[in-house]
Amino acid sequence: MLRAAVGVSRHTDASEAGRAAAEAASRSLGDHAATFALVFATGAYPQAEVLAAIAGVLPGARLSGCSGEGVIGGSATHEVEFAVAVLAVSSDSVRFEPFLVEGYHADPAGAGRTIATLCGPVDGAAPVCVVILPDGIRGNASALIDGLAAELPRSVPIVGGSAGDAMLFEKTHQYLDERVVSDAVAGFVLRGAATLHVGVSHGCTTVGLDRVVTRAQDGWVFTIDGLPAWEVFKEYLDGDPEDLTAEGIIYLCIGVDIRRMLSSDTPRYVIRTPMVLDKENGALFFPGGGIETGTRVRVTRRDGELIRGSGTECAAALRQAAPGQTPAFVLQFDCAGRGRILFGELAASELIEPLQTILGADIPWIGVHTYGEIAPVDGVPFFHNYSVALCAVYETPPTR
Amino acid sequence: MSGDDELARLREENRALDEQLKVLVRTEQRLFRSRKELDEELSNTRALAEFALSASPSDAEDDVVARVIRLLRASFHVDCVFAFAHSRGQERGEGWDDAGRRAVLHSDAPLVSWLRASERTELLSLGAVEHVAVTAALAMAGELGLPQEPAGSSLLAVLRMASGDAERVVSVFAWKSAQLRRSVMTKPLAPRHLAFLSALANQVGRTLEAVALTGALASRGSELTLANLRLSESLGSLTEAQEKLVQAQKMEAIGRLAGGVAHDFNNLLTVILSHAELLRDDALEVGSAAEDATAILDAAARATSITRQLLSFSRQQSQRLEELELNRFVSDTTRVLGRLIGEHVHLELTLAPERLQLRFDGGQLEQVLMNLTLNARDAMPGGGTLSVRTRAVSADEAERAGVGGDEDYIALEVEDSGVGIPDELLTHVFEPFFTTKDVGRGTGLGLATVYGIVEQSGGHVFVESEVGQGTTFTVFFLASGTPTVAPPPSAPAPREGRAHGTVLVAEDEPAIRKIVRRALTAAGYDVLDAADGEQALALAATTTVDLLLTDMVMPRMTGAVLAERLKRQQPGLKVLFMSGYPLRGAASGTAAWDARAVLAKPFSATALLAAVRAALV
Repeated sequence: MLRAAVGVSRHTDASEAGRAAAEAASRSLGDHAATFALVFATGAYPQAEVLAAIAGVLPGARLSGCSGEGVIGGSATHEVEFAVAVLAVSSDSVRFEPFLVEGYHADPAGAGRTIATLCGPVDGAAPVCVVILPDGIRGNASALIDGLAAELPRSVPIVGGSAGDAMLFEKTHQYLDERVVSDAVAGFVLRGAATLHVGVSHGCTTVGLDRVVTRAQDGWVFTIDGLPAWEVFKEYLDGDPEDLTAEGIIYLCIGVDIRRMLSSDTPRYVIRTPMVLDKENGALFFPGGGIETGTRVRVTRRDGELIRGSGTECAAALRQAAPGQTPAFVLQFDCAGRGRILFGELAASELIEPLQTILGADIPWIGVHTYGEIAPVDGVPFFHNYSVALCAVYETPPTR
Repeated sequence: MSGDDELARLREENRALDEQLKVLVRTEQRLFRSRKELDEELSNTRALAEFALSASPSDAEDDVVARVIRLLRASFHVDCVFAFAHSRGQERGEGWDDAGRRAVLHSDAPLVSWLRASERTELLSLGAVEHVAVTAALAMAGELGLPQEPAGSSLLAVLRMASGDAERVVSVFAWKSAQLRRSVMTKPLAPRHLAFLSALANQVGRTLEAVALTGALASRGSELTLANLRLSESLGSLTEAQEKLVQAQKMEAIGRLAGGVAHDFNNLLTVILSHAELLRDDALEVGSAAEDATAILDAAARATSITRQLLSFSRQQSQRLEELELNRFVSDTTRVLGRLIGEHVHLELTLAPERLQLRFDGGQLEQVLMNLTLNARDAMPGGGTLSVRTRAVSADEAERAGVGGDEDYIALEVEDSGVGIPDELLTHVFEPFFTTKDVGRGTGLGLATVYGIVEQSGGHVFVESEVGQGTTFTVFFLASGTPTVAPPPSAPAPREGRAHGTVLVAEDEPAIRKIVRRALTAAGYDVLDAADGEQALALAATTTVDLLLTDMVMPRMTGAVLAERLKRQQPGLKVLFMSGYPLRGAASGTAAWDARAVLAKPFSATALLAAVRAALV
């Protein structure tokens, strides 16, 4: 039996917040002791205090998780300074095997391969999925995913999101039990009597002509169509900005054409968001990686209607994939730039409620506002920006 | 057109379209920015309206400020907010945040100094806040346990709000932590933000002012209620005093009436008594006539008793003041009273341990005690307890009783466990002829007599009663010092024998004059009689007079004046006054006369002769 419950607290004190969120989740589990807890917390807390408090409330549970720009819990999104969300799970049929791999920035692909070693078959059965929560500031997420995917059967989905902070891009945190580190990949392998359906959608529309990255290295894009990348961007930005502002980041992105990787003739794009501007060279840094010299790209603009519409379609697709079933819980990895900064106070009603209307309002629902989302497109795992990755976990009924 | 040309044309068209698209995209950004600003303004306006609508003058200051803090947190996503309140003239202020953390800052704290130095109540924004305020606010934040930032941090805003005519200023400090300020999402405050903060400061200021005024109003209301209570009490006392005054005036009027009637009756009774006595003496040998005369004398004696009580009530009874000790007097008298009250009434005597001296007429004191005791007995027809107590009266008790002053009092209390007196009757109990007893059982003069005697002596009598529980009469007598002079020995009784001497009778009442002449003449005296002082002086001018027997109150010349003038002519003259009133030096206009030289009306012939004989000794 798989039981799950979510608790949220916005207490400003780390211990109080951790304790309150864990207690709320524990209460919902009733007499069933939690065996695993997924934790998302904002970066303003002393992180270890949060985890210690949660561990104190859920003594038998393994912990995994990461920091985020905000957390999602229940039917609300909390993009505030102080918030923590806890998913407490109790099950004897589904196993959550948390891990923490350090040294991510130095060797992201190696980190992926290390994780892959944890995902081998047990009793002949492959994992249900692997959830990865890499540092969102340091490390090439695309390389991480590639390293992991290369060693995993394609049937094992790779999902997750990269850890964030309060849009400072200074430091993120990854958790394993009561340990807190940075420059690492946290996550867990899900095994047992469960199935996972995952969907991903972005909220951007392409604008302008097809373009080609003419010079790129280590996530930095120097030129596009032979022009400094910043100059290309500025052509679409209002007011001749001198720096890359939050407004610019959330307004314009790059759509990376992935049709080649999908063996498709139809253009398909994953979104990449520039985070840092090198004013001197006019270069833009894309922490998600995956953009190399010769990559075909298009400038994209955010589209609120598309965010709503594609998210709803994504949820509907998940429901259609498991007709008549109710998820045991849902994980939502949503871009930090799509919530409050775009929708303000309406973030929850724009981002969460439409999805819950389709999948079920009473489902234990936890999420985090990330610096990148990880989910497969047509079975191929990708790192995304400005997207939502929605993972519905179902308990598999026992076979006779 | 060649394929290359066509391709070039299409590329050109695409570039043109791309340029148009860029314009559209830029326009969309502007529109989005405008809409976002509008949304923000709408949101802030709504927040402001909600704040105003939820504000109540009955709110506590803490609640108002907590709402401000929450509003700032929500509208500006600030993570450091606290309030600081400082009342003018106080050396320290208090700070708190919305988590309930509190700190007290003393006058030497930078924040207090800064706030005290500034009288401004307007909004201070990022650029306008002095560096000292920033430092001070951060120090305050440290006191509260809020995240502190390195020097050079700047505030988002300081809202300063006057409360209660600016006697108290509440400031709300809000800023973003360094972490949030460095976020790419943080932008400098725009004019619309400052306008919102300013409006918020005004709104909160008004609310706090209303809160302060409500507090002051409630305080004034309490004072008013208290004053009203005092006024009601004062009015009650005034009403009570007025009622007492009316009652006293009424009693005074009744007293004067009773005194006047008694005086006239005394004259008539003197005539009746004297004639009846003569009639009885003359008719000794005729049985039925003697009995008739005796009956007349008995009736006249009872009438005399009534007139004396009336005079007592009207405070016109003659008093023979003497030093008495109340405990001893009560103790002696109650031995007699015990027989009067009957076996069905239990008598309890509680006497003060100390001596209670008073200067009083012993007969009247006995009458007071007697009347109160008998009244108590009659209130307990089925038996009960009669308590007689004596005690000294404290100054406080006298004050409470409304008789406070320089006088010292001692008290006599007579309490019964009888039927009690209804409130509506209580004010009438001292009126003469007021009685609740059955016809024939009481004259209605007992308590009136007590009242008259006590008031005449400068004392006071009070009554408390509860129906079914009993009644207590409390008499306050003026206390006197310990007597140092022994009372004078009684004069030896005059010897009986044939009378002789010349008596000048001055009396304006012809019937009395006539009967006095007859009685004195019959006893052997030479009698001259005059209808007034002038006639008396004229008679005395030609004749030596041994005794002047004169009415006290006569037309044109009082008896006292007559006596004075005759004494000057005949220094050896003896004087005996007749009076229906008590003899009072001040009233008569003469020096004090020996009380023994007064023959109180009504009197019998026997009493007259005895008094004349005594006067001539």
